[in-house]
Formats: sequence, C-alpha cells, structure tokens
Amino acid sequence: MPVTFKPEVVKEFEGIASRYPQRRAALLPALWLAQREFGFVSLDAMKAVADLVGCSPAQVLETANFYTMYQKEKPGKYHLQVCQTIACLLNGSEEIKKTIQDKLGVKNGETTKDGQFSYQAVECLASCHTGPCMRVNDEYHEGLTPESTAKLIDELKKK
Amino acid sequence: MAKITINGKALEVADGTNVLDAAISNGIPLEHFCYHTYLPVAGNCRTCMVEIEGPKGPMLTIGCNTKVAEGMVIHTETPKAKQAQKSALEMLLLDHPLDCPVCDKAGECKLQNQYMEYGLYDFRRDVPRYFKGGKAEDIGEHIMLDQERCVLCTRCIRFVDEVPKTSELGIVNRGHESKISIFPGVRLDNPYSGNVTDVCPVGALTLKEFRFKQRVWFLKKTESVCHGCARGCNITVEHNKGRVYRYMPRENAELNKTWICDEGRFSFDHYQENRQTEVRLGHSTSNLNEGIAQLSHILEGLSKDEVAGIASPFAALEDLYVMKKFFEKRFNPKNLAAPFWGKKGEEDNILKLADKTPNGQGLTLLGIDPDGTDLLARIEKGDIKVVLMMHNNPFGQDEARANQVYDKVKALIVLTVHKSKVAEKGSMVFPVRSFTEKNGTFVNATSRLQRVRQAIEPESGDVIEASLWFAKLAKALKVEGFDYSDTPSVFNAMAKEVELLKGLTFHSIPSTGKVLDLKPVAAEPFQGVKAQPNVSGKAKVEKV
Amino acid sequence: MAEFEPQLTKRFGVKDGHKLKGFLETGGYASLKNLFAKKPPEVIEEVKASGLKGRGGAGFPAGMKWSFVPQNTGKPIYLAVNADEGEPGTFTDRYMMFHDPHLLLEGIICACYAINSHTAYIYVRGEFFEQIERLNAAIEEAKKANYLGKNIQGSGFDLEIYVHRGAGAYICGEETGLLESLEGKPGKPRIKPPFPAVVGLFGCPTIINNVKTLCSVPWIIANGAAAYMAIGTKESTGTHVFGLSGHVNQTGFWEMPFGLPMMDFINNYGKGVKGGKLKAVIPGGSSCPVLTAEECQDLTLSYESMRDHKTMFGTGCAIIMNEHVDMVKVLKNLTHFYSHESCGQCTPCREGTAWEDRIMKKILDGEATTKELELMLEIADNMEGKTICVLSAALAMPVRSFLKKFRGDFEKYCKAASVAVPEAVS
Repeated sequence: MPVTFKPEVVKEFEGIASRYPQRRAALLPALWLAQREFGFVSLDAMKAVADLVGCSPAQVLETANFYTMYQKEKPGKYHLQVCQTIACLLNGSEEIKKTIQDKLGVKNGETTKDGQFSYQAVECLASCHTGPCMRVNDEYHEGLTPESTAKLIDELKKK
Repeated sequence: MAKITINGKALEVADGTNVLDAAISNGIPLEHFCYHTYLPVAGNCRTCMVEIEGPKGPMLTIGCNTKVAEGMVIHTETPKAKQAQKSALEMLLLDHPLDCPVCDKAGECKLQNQYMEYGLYDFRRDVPRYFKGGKAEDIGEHIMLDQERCVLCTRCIRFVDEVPKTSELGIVNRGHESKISIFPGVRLDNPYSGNVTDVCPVGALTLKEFRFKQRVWFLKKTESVCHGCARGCNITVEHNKGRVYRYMPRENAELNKTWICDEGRFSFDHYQENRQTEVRLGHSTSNLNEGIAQLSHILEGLSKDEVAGIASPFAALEDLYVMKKFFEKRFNPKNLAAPFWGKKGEEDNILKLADKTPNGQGLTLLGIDPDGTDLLARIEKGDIKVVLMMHNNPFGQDEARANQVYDKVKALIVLTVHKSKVAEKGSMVFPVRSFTEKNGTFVNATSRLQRVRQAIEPESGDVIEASLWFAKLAKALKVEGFDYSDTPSVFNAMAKEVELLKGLTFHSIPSTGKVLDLKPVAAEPFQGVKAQPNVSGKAKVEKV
Repeated sequence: MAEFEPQLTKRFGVKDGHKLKGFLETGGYASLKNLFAKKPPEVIEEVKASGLKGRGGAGFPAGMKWSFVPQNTGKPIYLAVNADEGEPGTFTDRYMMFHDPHLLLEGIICACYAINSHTAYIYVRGEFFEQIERLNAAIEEAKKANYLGKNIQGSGFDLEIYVHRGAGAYICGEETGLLESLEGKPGKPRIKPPFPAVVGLFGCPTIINNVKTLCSVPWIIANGAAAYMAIGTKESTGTHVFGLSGHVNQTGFWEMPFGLPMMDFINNYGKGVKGGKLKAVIPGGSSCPVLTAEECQDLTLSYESMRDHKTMFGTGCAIIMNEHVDMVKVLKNLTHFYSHESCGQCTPCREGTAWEDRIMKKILDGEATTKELELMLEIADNMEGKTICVLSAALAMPVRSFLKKFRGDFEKYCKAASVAVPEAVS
C-alpha cells in the first residue's frame, strides 16, 4: 500500500537536503524520516523516499538494505538489540541472549506474536567496559545480568 | 606517451592508459572480471593483480586502476602475482554453482576461460556451500537472473547507471549475502536492457530469447551491421545451420562502442520469419530464370517512359546502384525514386534514431530521389505500365492508398524479402536476399560506409541479391555493362564511378566502416552520455 | 603516574560542561584567539610539529594529512569527522561527544581553518542517539553565540557544521566508506587512487579525522606544539583516553599521557585481572594482533612499543582475557563480526571472511583437522593486501596471531589426522 510523507515532513526533509550540495546525500536522513513516520522502511516507504530524494527505487533498496538499523519489517514496540561482539561476549552476552530468547520465545530477527518485543543480535555497541549491553529502541542499557534483563523486560511489558 | 615494461617487454602506450589495458591490448594476458573498457573502473574483483616495481620493492596492486607512468616496470607472472590472481579466482568460484551443463554462458564464460588460464587448482571448499538462492528469476522483458552465478562484478549496475541512466539494478545486503536485485515491481525494462547480458562475465544475466536455444560453440560469427534504424550499429550475426540465433554488438569505438539497443538486437527473428521463398508468376509458382524470361518479354516492347522503379532505403548500395544503372541504360532514370512513408520510431540521445531505415544516406550518395511524390502521381495518372518495386512499399500498412496506385499499372513486379499484402498484389513476385544473406554496403545517418557480410546461404538458388537480379534482367534485355560475378564486384565497379567512394574496394573497407564526406543527417550517438572513460591501451611502438 | 592536565576529559563530571555556558567557564573556545592570529599554513605546521597522530586507529600524523589538501582546485574543501566508533573494544569517542561536544566543535573549527574548509560533517554512528542530540544542541548554541556561521568571532572565517547520522555499518568507519555513506550510498570503500585529500566528498578535497584527534587540537593551538610534545613519549606525544574491558576487576576509561606500562594499566587502573591469571590482551581494538601475557610484560601504551611488539596501538582500548578463555570461541566471534561487516565489494574479503567463519564453525563442531588451521592461515594471506580496504587485514591479523600464539587451544578441537591405510598383506 503506497505511503506518502506529510507536507511538514517534506519541509523538514528539504531543510536537511539543503545542507548538502548533492540531493542524494540526504538519502540516509530520508530513510530515518521514513522509519520515524511509517514505523519501518517497507518497500512502499522506499518508493516514497525515492520520489522524495529523486533517485531510482533500486538505489534506495541498495542503501536501505546495506545498513542494519533500517528495519525492513515492522519491529516490536520495544526493539531489543543485544551486542554479541567480543568484549560483551567475554562478560556474558550469550546468557543475556538466552534470557531474552527463553523469556520471549523469539529467535534473532523475530518479533513476539503480540507485537510487543522484537529481538536483534547486533555487533559492537561501543559499550565494551559496561557489557553486556543492549539497546531498547534508542536507549542504552548496560551492565546487564540475566536477572536485570528479565526484570527490564517485565517492566517494559507493564508499560 | 609513456615507455613501460611488462614482463620484460618494452612498450610505449598512450598516457592515461591503465596497466590492465596496456597488457591485454598488447597480447599479454591478464585475468579480469569487473573491468570493462567502456564503463567506469570498479576495481572490485581483484583478479588483475600485478606487481609493480617501486622504491620499496615490488608492490602488489590491481592493474585496472593503475595508470601507466614513464618507466613503470610491471610483472604479471611473478609467483606473488600469480598466487593473487589464482586465489581471487578460487574465491570467486568458492560457492559458484556447477551450472555449466545448463548455463547459456558456457563457452564464452569468463570464469570457465580464466579458470583454465589462471586456476587449475584442486577444489578444497570443505565447508558447507552457501546458497544465495534465486534461480531463473524473470526480472525484465528480456532478462533472466540466476542469482547464484553472479560474481558481483557490478558491470551490469555500472551499465544501467551510465548508458540508459535508468538505475534499475542494485546490490542488496552486505558481505557474503550481497546479491544483485531489481526493486520489486520495477523491472529491468529500459530500451538497452539486453546489454547487461553482454557485460555479465558469467551466466547470471541471460537473454530469454537465447535461453537454452543454442550452444555458443556451434555458432558461427559473421560481421555485419544492424538494420533496425539509420544508426547502423555494428553487430556480429551468430548463426548455425542456416538459422540466426542472435545478434551480438560488435565493438566500434566511434559509433556504438559495445552497445546495441533492444529493438535492434532482437530484430534478428524478423529477418527469418515470414519470408517470400518462391518466385510467383501470376497465380503459380515458378523459378527465377522463367520469371526473368517472362518479365524481359513484357519489358522488351515498352518505351523508355513506361516503366517506373521504386527503390528503397532498405536496399544495399549495390542494389540501388545496379537498379539505377538499369534505368539509366534502358529506361528513364527520372522514373526511379525511393519514397518511404514508413512510421518513424522512437529516438533518444544514446543510439536510437527515429529513421528506421538503414540506407537513407545511400539514396543521397547515389542521387536517387527519396521523395517520389511526383512519380507516384504519374503512376496514379496511368502513365506507367510496369512498376519494378525493390525491397519497399511506400504506403506501409495503408492498403487502400497502395491499391490506388498499383491498380493503375498493368504489371507490378515486386522484389521482396518478406511476404506482404503488396507482394500478394504483385503480378510477379521475386524473393530477394535479406542483409544476412549477402555481402553489401550501407551508409548510416552519420555518413559512415559500412559492410555487411554474408552469414546464411538461402536454401533455394532462386533467392538472389536484388543487385544481381537487376543485372540478370539487364542481360536478358541485352543491355551491355552488367557483368558482375558477385556483389563485391558491384561495389568495386560502383566505387570507380561514385566520387565519394573513389579509391575503395569492397575488401578494403575497414571492419568498423569509413566515414564519407557526406553531410550527416543525425547527431553523433551518446549525446550527454559520458564518453569512453578508459584510454585505449594499444601500443604505438613495439620494441623487442 | 606524574600529574598532568586533562585535556580531553577535563569537563567529564563537570555540571553542564556540555553546554556552552559551562564550556566557556572552563576555558572553552580559548584557542580561537591564537588560531585566527595565525595563517592557515602556520596552523598546519604547528599541528605537524606537535606530533599529533590520528586517534582513530591508523595513527597517521594529523598535520601531515592536512597538508595533502590541494588549495588551488577551485573546489570547496570539506572536513568529515569520523564519529563512527565501531571497532570492537572501543568506547571512548562516545563519551567525548556526550560530555564535551563543544570541544569537538572547537577542534573542528581549528582543523577547518587550517585546511580552508567552510563545511564540516560529523558522521556519527546511528546508535549514538544521545550523542547526536547533544551535538545538535551544541551546534545550535555555538551558532547563536557566533562560534559557528559567518565571520566567527569577527575573524572573517565562515564555517557550518552538520551532523549526519549513520545507520549501522562498521565499514563506514573506513575513510572512503564514510564518504560514500555521507553521499547517500552504501558505505563501500573506494578504490585509491584518487585519495580523499584530493578527490573526496562530492568529488572535492576532503580530510577525514577522528573525534579524539580533533579534540586534541585546541590544546595544541592554545599551548603550542612544544608543550604538547613535552607530554607522553618521543613518538607518542600528548594524551589519549585509554580504555579497559573484558576480564579486569574495574573496566573503564582514563585519560593519561602515552607511555604507561600495560601491566600498570591492568593492575593499577584495572585493579587486576578478574577470574584468573592473564592469558591474552588485544591492545587496541579487535583488528590488532593479540598478545600473550608474557609479551605484555614490557609493553607500554604507546605507538612505538606496540609496533616493537608486532601489534598495533589502534584505538588504545584494550580487551583483557583470563586463563579460562577459549581462544577458539573468541576467534569465531571475530570471524563472524568481520564477515558480517564486510561490505562485500571485493572478492578476497567477501569470500575470504565468510570462508574463515565457516571453517571456524567446523573447528568448533570438532569436524576439522590441523589441515584447516593451515588453510585459515593461507586464506588470511590471500586476503591481506589484496583488497580495496583493510577490513580483510583486520581479520587476517587476528587469525594469524591467534593461531600462532594459541595454537594449543585450536588443536584441542582438531580431529586426529586420518589413520594411514595399512599396506596390503602380500
């Protein structure tokens, strides 16, 4: 189903595009706007972005698919991104991943049936000294233990 | 110019040439996938690795992105270079499917060829194969994608970005999961889509029209020129056992580079279908000699002004020349014209021209009237008894209009390649050879004289070139000076008489053609498209 | 440790140190006076003389990099700030931007003045949401107070700074990958030549500098190159923010001059190895060759000492591993990381990293023999030095160093070589 950007968002985009001498440079910001406005970067959102920026749909697809933070499917209300790289691994990220998988019944890349939580194993979040670490949407949660992770999920469920 | 050394061989090449081009243009083989002379350099396949001597010793680097410099010493066959070439090839083949038995590209596949040159190692992927998925996906009107075979050289993407500028292709995902893709629903349907299958070094992108039709090692290749429009892009007619399977674009740096539009590329079937194969006299089939005899009998009794000729911008120069000479020597050349009211087609600033006839300039060169309004009026008035029509029907699909004119003549003699409504009207119909069945010359819209070569021999001996048909008719009418053994001799005779062709013979015409001093009627191709980005590496002086 | 004046972390923990008021009250933007009194080439010379090396990991002399920009092309010159901190083990740029965004802006002003650039883009990795908010707020404050925009503080120098948010790709920390991403494309590194200093962003001359490199510049301009050189060691001048993670009792980051012995760092700052004896150290981000506990005994936190120990200083953030660590699992984590982050452009990296990762899985599953270990070394050789960028080398170096120094760990997983077929009995 086609989606369109609201006029005020188009205006916002034009302001961003004016920072660059080439319009294509505003493609990453445009995709962030699409994710904000439509919840995730669907194929329809990509078409809208292609029209907005003035590049071909294939070019938008290429760019959106290259970066891991653009969600191609609707994420849960709380998108849990757990770091699994070396420093967090040394401090127990595998247990955190297991806690989430067991508690929510989701594997990497999946969303709970009620749409509340989605889970993505990601790479180094630059929280190495306070690992294991997880982002919930745009918030960092550091120094996790299996217990604190389970508690956090319970608190989020209540919200 | 820069003096360089490759593998001990001294060469002098133009400034701006890259090392890869300098090597392969001068007979030094060097593996490559992503490099293409007419596309921007990508440098991602990493197979053209060479060692170049530097202040800190030899440096291993890719050849395609290294421009030559005065005194450069290059090695392509040192152990380090060979190891790098071999390992890059091994990595390309690591998860490549063993599709050769069912892949159209077999026989002209860079992976196959370069494995035999640079690989020949034992297979050692002892871990599970990574399946990229996606076999035989239909991504465009003419294009099939076999994802797994792709080596991610990005030639196809660079092509659609640079030439038609439609950017339908991209690489999705990252790293090992990278794959070529269209945007779902936005198919690869630009007017030049077929070229992606030429640039693809493997069988990832293939033409539907060629899929599973023929193995390339059975194909014979004949140099020719496309007849889709007045651009005259250079092609190779690829055929086997009397059937054309495809046209491939032939490199002409000054004309079509290595590209051809889809309309031209897929016109090959048109010249094989719906052919007029037999001589028809009245309602019965006959043969060529009988037909000529009957026709000469009819023409013998006619005065100069009672016969008209309708020539064609589809005819070769030889056909036009002999037809004109026939009228000059026996009838009235004022009654010869070549009106063509066919539909004008699409034009763009890349290759396509609106004029879809291949030899309009040939009419100008030989001074044949391209307008013919006058002549058609006289035919309609009833002044003409016999019309000799070659390769043409001025009225296109307008049957009513055609009848208006042709009903007024006693005999309509049609020389035609295809069956048509006009051919049906003809009192006598003679099949003539299409351009793939003869040697001939054409002049394109930018005044380039180009040659077509005979690829196919028609089954019936009655199907001859229009030029030789007129020669036969002239001889039957006892007109002197029509002794031609073949069409190249027609050209040679013509070249002696036509000022702009003086000094040429059929065989001396370069395979990329020769621009004549004739006013062009179209702009040069690739207006607004970046010119050839890579300087030719052909060495100027070769010293041993 | 001798007393020194914090340059990079001086506002950490200072209330409202990230706001303009707090910044100015603690000596912020003080360098601009000296800056605008000099001519741009003089600024470049000053930074050259200070010995400041790039803090992003490559350690290239900053002043020398600035001098590569051609000033006569007629094209605008750009500065791109590399805030895509993604090297595993590294976590200090994020605090610089969070606690002291104005210091980064001050550093950018100095750099842009030196190279004659009037537009700078800060490329921040997409995950650093809070940092982006603080940077944007700081830019707004600076503009209002005429520290950015036209005619900065009456100097006649114009500068606009914009923040550009990344979207999750380690390879965008590579200079030309960053430029591609800034231009709205997948962050695939470019073939060189041409080099970014000559043909960079939008086809124009561009300098790319790391956050901490730029944050180090204002102090140099305010106090002079000689004063900077007096701090640290001969080849590693100035201060740095060093980090510790992994198996230490106290992880964290500290600013100090170069030259501290690694064991002091681990024992005094990190309060000793946690959970067992020291086994291995990755000194500056996962791309650096790993060191054994023995090799760390005479190692100091400096570019030259790391080089002498055949590893790299990198980002100066060390990962400590105790004796219970399975080095095979650690290497598998790295092969997964690099194959996941490879942009996929060039053959040796795209195929090689994934091949290494699959072999590592085979080893962990107990299906491999020592033949696979040799194969891993060969693949590492076939990747390094043959690619567009150094991501392939970033995996090749750990592979080689892990296999060389901890071979025993790997051989524990390997199957015995197949039993020789007995000769036929005649």
